[in-house]
Amino acid sequence: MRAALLLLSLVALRPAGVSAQSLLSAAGLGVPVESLDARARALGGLGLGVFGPSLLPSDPAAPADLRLPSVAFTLGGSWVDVDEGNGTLSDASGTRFPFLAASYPARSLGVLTVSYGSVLDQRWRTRVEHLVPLEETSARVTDTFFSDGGVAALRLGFASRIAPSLALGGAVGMYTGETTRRGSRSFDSVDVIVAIPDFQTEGTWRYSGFNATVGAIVDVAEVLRVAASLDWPGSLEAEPASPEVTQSRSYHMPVTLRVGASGVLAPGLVVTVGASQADWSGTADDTGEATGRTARTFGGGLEFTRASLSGRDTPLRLGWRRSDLPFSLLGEEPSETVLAGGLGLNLVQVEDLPRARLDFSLERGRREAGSLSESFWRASMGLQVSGF
Amino acid sequence: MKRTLPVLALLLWGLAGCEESMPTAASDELLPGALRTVEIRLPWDQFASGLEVWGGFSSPFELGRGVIAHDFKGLEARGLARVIRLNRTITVVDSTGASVVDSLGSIKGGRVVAHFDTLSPAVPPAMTVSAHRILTSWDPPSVTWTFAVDTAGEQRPWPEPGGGPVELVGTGEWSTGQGDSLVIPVDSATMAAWADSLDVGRGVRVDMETPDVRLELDDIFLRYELVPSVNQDTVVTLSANTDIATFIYDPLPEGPGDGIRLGGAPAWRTTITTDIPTELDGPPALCPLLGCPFRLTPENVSHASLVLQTRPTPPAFQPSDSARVEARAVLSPELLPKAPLGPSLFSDTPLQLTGLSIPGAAFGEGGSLLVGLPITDFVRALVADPPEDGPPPPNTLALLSAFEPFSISFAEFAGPGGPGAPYLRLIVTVADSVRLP
Repeated sequence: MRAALLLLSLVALRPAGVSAQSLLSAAGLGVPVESLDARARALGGLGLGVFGPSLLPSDPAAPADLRLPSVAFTLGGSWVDVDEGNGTLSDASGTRFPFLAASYPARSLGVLTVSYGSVLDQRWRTRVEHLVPLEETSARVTDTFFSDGGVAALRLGFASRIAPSLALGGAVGMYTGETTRRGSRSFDSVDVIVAIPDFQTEGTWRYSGFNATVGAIVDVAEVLRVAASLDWPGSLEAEPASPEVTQSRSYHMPVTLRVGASGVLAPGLVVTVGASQADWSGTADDTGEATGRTARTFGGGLEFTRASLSGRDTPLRLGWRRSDLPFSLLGEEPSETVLAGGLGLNLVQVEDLPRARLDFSLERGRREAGSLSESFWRASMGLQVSGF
Repeated sequence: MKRTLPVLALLLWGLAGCEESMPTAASDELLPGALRTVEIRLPWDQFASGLEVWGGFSSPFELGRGVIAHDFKGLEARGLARVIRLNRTITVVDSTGASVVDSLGSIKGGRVVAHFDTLSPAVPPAMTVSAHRILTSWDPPSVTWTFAVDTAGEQRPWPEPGGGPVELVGTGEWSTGQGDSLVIPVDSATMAAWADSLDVGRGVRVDMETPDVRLELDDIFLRYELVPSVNQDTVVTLSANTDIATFIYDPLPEGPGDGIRLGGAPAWRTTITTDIPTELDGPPALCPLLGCPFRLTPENVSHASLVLQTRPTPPAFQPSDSARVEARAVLSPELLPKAPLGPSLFSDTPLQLTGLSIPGAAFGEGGSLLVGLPITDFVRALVADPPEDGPPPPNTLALLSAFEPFSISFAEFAGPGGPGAPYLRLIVTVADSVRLP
């Protein structure tokens, strides 16, 4: 227990962004970021309907079988190469901290959960150099627009297995997070004797609002699991958090339907598939400037569970996923395709239930929106500890 | 598990510390709002209402060095040095080999050593300089061409204007190729006169004898030979204390008329009373871009400078080196010309220590250089909302030499009402306010 807390403290001490590391964050309200663990990422799905208990916010019924207090978190880094399609190349990198969750059994009634995970990434920047005409000459300036922050959600949930083959779960939560947007102009070559300080204007908004999720899991003879969940996201409220701005905004977030299933193909070989759908057009309408669409995600993967390393179960995973991103960028509808792989390491296992599990995943992906393309590597590592 | 956790902790720690760099586009299509910059030039009558030139700040004595000139564009200038004391007490070795203190030595002769600024431009290859013994008591801090003493309690003219009468000590030829020093021998009688501590007027006057020359005089030394009483075959060379040096000149420059004048010794300053508008209806380029009336605010004034155009100064006082000027706010204009000034408006800029340097040639014949004095903070304070309590920000601007006095020469700029009149240059930037999509 103390060691697990030490791990969590180490992570918490280092501020880490909740980001997709994508220039597509400039579109609409940003890029949706699913709160997934390394296992779900390696399987290419949405984390829904996989065998075994999990604490993923998108599958509120999954913790129903966690009969011991548990904590889980995921940490990852991504490295992105951006090609704007006009000969401009750049790169970005960053640390991700997509979610943190804990559960505690409520006697025989079920399992209480609390989770904190990312929802939208709004980190991006653009920098343009150009000439500004003055009276008798012109000045070279650099304009920078900077957006930093995003939306996260804190959820409190409850899951219960109400029948041997049926588990139900639900969560209520609130949006958190804030975003800072800043426009600045630096004067690089004005014919004055002293440097001109940068011109800057900025504002910060804080997010709030309520959301809820319900979900169910149906198990069929331990060879098939089917799960579904529905997000009722409510409205995302943005209130000014700095004196420079007075604008308040309210966005209708989309209802998101997720389904997922896992089946045993052969002893030690499991196939997982998943899909989701969310209509972001209403959210885009609220922005007044972005174009939204119905974003669909589908993916799946294979898990070979009989591999071992040093006597420990070490499941191997391979997956693929394709996602529509909800907001168009400069009139182009973006999408993301990911090929993933990974492995797990059951550090402590009691009977069939891992008490401490470490998962790794590595994804190679590509996002495209017209001539803009991004290729990225994303590495994730997750730890789930139970029964401390 | 226990062995794995520390390794895991280190792994997590390292991963969490990955370098963060934000996705960055180079496309202006993604800029969510426009940034607009416009240059505005306000003519004199739209931002200033009064210009006054004040003289008499500091004195040549405070410069710490002198100028000598003869018939240089009508200028006469002479260097003066007060001989404070000739020391006769020395320690010598007597015939027995013992060291004794001897205060009865006799002064046999000496020399005046003048150090010149070898970088002075436009001087002839050779020139004649003379040294004189001053015969009238004089006051180094207040001495002028006309007055030997010019203090608040006493005003006493020279018997002969220009530091006279004097007694010629000697002359010497100096050229820039022979180093920075000129030595003029002094006979023992003159040295004895300078050694007379009862003579309150003791001093050396150094004159330029070659016409049409103005030369910077860095310092004047007096060296003398002393023969001790106990060992008379020994000659000791000593230096007199002559560290009080100044210069006098004639004629004093006339006022600049309608122009702006800074510097000189004594120094000139110029003050400008400003009335900077907070709302603008022009120039024509402004309105389509930023809208009119346009409200000036501290936030949208990116840069403000007072643009002056140099003009030729009187030839006798034309800077031979760069002029260094600065601007300060006048804190109590009603006390001018002795009003206290605020800190340099060039603070927090590379100009803070040296002022704005303007080449001396800009003040020569045909010189016409536009110079922008950065006064951004001064303007921002004036276009800000007036403080609810406390005095309004100062609106009077003082233009002066960064060092007073810096040189006998001064800088001049065209004044209002004519060609090259000062104007206020504003670089204004506005942006659409940042907002959420």
